[in-house]
Amino acid sequence: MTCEDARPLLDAHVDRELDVATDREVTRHLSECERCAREVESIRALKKALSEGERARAPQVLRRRIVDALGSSPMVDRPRVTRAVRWLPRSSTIAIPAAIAAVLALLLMPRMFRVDQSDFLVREVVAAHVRSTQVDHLTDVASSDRHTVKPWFEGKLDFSPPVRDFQAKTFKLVGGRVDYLDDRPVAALVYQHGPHLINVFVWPSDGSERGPTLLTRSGYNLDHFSHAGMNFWIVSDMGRDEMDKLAALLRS
Amino acid sequence: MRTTVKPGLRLVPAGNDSAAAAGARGKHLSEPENRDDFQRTFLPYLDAAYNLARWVLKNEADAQDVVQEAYLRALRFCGTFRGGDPRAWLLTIVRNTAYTWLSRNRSADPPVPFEEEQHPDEAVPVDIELIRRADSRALRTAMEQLPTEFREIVVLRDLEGLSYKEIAEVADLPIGTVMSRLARARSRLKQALHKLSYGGGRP
Repeated sequence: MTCEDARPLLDAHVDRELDVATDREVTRHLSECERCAREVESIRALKKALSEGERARAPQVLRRRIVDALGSSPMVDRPRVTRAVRWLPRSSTIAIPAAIAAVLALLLMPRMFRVDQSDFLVREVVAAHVRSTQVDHLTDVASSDRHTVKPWFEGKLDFSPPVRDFQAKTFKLVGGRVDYLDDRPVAALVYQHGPHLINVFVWPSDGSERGPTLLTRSGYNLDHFSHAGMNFWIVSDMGRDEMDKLAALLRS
Repeated sequence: MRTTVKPGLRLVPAGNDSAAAAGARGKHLSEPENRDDFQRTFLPYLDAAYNLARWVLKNEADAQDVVQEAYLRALRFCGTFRGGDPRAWLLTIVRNTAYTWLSRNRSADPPVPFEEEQHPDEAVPVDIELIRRADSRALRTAMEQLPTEFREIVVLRDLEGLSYKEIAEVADLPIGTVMSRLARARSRLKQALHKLSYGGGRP
């Protein structure tokens, strides 16, 4: 790596924002180039000076002002329809025909659409499972203790997923992470059964009881059901009988 | 501002079990409960919010007004907060509120000039001791001389410790731009500190 290559990367190197391979290259260059090494030192010195002295803190009076204002301000937390309607008058010439077109499109849309939607979700679930086993990102919280895993989700999700360990029934809880499916953050609970890794994706349902529905996709078995207000998607490379067993445990 | 147009997250109070959480999802939480959640979630970032506004606006009284307005906006929009990092979400609103305020109340800073082409970074004589000795007043002056678009990146990174990815989200920029702006901003800060201590220093 030459100085010319290294220069634009020095700040990101100091900030530890480079990927491992590039960072190694930069580090090697720094051991050979005094000028770039000095540049890095000066960036460090500047960062240190800034972080030590220049952060303004909110005055107490502002804190009080905000708490008061928040207490007396109406909370507008209306569903989006209301917001869309409020927005209508200003641009109604475009919005109304567009809205009519959208409604027509929805009415005329063949039922296939729903199938496509759920098929898309199936692909998403499989992709999320494959990703979690390939990349070194199976769990964000690694623990077989549900009392560790469950609180970990707090603040990361807008719901509290049911976390249970079935080690006695040979399905061992390994950990959990937050994943993104069906346009929303979901809980991913990871179980191990013999050599098989299992992802159980959980997010709130509309409340109806559904499934279980077993299907196979790209060599993986999937089981989907809705139970106790939650959607569950189990995905793994283990056999169907075992899928059934885990599904029964989760529903029990 | 990048807000999600989905009927968003309802903040779930701590200690909820799954059944209660599932039940709460269907209906709105009562207002006081939601309001408490809002405060618990976002008030810890008041210093970060104020610091960003203070550096974007370069004025303490204006920063207070803007931060208060930003919190009220955040309260109004918290239905669109869908988990993720509350600090980045709040700072996005603070930044937008500050820029709206700027465009309404002051003529905007002149656009970022392409000075870099004429004065490539290489030209900076690096005096590390000078940076280490720089006092608060010199640092502040140097920061205030930066164009706002550069200063805010330094604030988010070096004062607030956000990752490049979080900065990209807050400032609505590609990560590459965050990286290059940060490098240029720091290089300008060093130049300014140099000028300030070796004569030619502006007030």
